[in-house]
Amino acid sequence: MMANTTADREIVVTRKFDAPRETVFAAFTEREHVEKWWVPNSTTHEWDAKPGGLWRYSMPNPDGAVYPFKVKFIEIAKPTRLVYDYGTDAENAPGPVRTNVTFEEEENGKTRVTLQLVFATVADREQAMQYGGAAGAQQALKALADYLATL
Amino acid sequence: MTIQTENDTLSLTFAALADPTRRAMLARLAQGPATVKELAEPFKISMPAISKHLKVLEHAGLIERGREAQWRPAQLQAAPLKDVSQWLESYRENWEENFDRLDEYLRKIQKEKE
Repeated sequence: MMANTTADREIVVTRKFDAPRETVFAAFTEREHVEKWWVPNSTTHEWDAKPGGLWRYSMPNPDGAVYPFKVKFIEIAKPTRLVYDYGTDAENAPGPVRTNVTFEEEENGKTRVTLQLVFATVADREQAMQYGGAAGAQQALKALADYLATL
Repeated sequence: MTIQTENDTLSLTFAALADPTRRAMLARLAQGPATVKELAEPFKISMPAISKHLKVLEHAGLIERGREAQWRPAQLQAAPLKDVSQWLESYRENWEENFDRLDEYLRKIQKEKE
């Protein structure tokens, strides 16, 4: 069991962007920017970008069903760090995925963004398959991470 | 963040993995094949309950059972777990796509500023 690290249950994605850090940070934290690139074809129902505030949105799946999602802002440390929980807005929904985003200045006014998704370890099996689609899978993903940690 | 509709096999795998007893059984089987009796040893639950868990794992294709009637040793099957790790990878691909859109968007607003 890995107790002090999240390496066994996280995904890290990083990319260098040709824009100043302030601009890239704004693209992640200001509604008029976020809606232009983050979730295509989504509808925003609530936007409150401050610690504890929510961004609630919904998006249609290829099967036509509309799925609600929720981003809860945890920390907005301009212009270096953003922390939020990504989950759903449905009743009995499984726990959120903690997401840590860091913004680093690089040469020639470029910015490196590193996104770390951390899945919780403890599976809430009562809720596991109650919420369909990605959310159910997300819950099961926790179960998988839990299992992999035992190998 | 787009979501991916998982197929039935993945749903079965996820459902099978959602139980800690079954995950512990899989962890044991990762070390090699085992009989029902051996698998039951660490748990304070009845043999019928163990059998039920094994059936769920077998149905999900996570284990294969031997044909010897009495012992029916179980063996781990890796393929469904690989599917799950591919699904996990889809989260990464999803963000790579998001980053593509962000890159394009940043270029556009930088250009408008000039």
